[in-house]
Amino acid sequence: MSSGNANRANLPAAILVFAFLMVWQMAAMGMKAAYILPSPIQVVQKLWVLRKPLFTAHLPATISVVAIGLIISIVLGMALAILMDASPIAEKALYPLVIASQTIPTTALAPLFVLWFGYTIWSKVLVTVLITFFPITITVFDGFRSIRTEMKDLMFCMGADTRQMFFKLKLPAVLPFFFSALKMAVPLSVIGAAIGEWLGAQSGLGYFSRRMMTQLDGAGVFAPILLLSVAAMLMTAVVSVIEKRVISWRNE
Amino acid sequence: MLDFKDVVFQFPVEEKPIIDHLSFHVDRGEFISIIGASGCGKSTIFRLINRLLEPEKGEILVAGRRVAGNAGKPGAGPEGKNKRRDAGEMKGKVGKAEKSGEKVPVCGYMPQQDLLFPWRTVEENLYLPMELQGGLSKEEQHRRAQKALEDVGLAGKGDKRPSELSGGMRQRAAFARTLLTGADLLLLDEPFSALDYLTRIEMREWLLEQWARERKTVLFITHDVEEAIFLSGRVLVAERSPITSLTSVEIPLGASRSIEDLKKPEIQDMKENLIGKLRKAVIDLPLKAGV
Repeated sequence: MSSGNANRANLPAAILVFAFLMVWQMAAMGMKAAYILPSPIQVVQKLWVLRKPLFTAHLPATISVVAIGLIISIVLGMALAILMDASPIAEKALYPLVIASQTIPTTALAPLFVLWFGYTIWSKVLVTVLITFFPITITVFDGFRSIRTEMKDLMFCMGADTRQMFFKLKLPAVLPFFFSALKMAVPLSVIGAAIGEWLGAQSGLGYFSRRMMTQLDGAGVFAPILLLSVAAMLMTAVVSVIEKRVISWRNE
Repeated sequence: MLDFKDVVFQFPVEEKPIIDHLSFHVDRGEFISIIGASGCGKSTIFRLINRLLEPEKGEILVAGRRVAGNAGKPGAGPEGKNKRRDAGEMKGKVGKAEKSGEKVPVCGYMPQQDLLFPWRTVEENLYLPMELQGGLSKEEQHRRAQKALEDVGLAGKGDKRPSELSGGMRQRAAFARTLLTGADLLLLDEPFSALDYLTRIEMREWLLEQWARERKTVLFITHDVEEAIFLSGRVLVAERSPITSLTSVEIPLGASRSIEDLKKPEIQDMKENLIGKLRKAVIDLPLKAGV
């Protein structure tokens, strides 16, 4: 796979995006109401004007929420998956709860978190974790379940104990699932952080976007969102690169 | 080398036992094939030997050591006797019985699929049994793996991923891994059934060479009568289900044999005879047989 091929493969998507931006630009120019629909060029201009507060205060604030939320989600998600895999009782007890936790409208609950934790980072982290741990738990748990019984049997016949079973079979077997989960979790954690910030924060891209809305500054709403999207894409790309490094056997 | 004494085993979901008071004996160094219709319980015999299943009654001895069964004492296991054990959770029990002895497993098991771990190279796959047993340095593991690769005809392929090898090569690697468990009893469960015909023929001859060199006791499950005749000194036929006995048939061929030997009239007769026995078994087989 040369990068030339990859570029050619992405060409249709690139053309579509470009066409979409053109239509948007023309529609915005036609409407002449930047407070409702700013043009893409206005958004980029705004991003440039606001670069200092956005990059020095709000982006770091959001990224720290995302990072802390992701770390907690990974630890929690993996722990739950491992626990459910290790013990059938834990699976019976936890699996329905994990599923049920996703039926809770997190966005609606978030104001409660603000009541509990105030405008600190933890109310945002909690929203992030609630949204993010789920795909990790479920995907990794599915990974455990997808390990072929024959492989476990073989390990047993060769005399593997529980520890060896985990580190030599289960963990490597589940790694591709873990990375899939991570690629889902990263964008979700950005969304979670933004939602958390809308509801109560003193800094952060979500907070900034909302503040611009109250000022009827359309481009100001879009600029931090653009930044959020780029951040999410970059982080997903980083995960993909690490994944390619770590997992060389996916073609199986 | 291997003794079954009055072994009874029943799957909990079945009404009748699938193995009913079965006794047989295998000498050290023999190459034995077990043939029988699909679902008659051949594989269950293997799963009993390698302790993935526990017999309800009777005992199983490997090299004089009891590996399964409680010699008539019922209800020893806390979770019931004939439940399929989950590989993860049963280690505690087995571990206790094992602790006094060395960690070499009682038997090397080679399943139908190679089950090489895709995240390991071929050579690293061969490390696996040695890693599990512990006590060998990296250099020694490397040396033994290289030797085993050479022996099975895979010299220089150690750095490849399993997915880069052909089906036959993967089975060779799996066999090398089985050898490296150090066990003297090898259980081969239809190891060639997933291979194409030509590879299968080639692998049969290869396996005989391996056996001649390693001098292990081999128990080989197959449903291919020709394969069984070509490979073994003795064929055990599971004629009916539940398996109450295995009919032993000596193969009148020497240690070094060739494909041509299969054309001999007495061998042809023997083949027809065995197929006839199996046919009868299929007709007798209950509709809902355990697998």
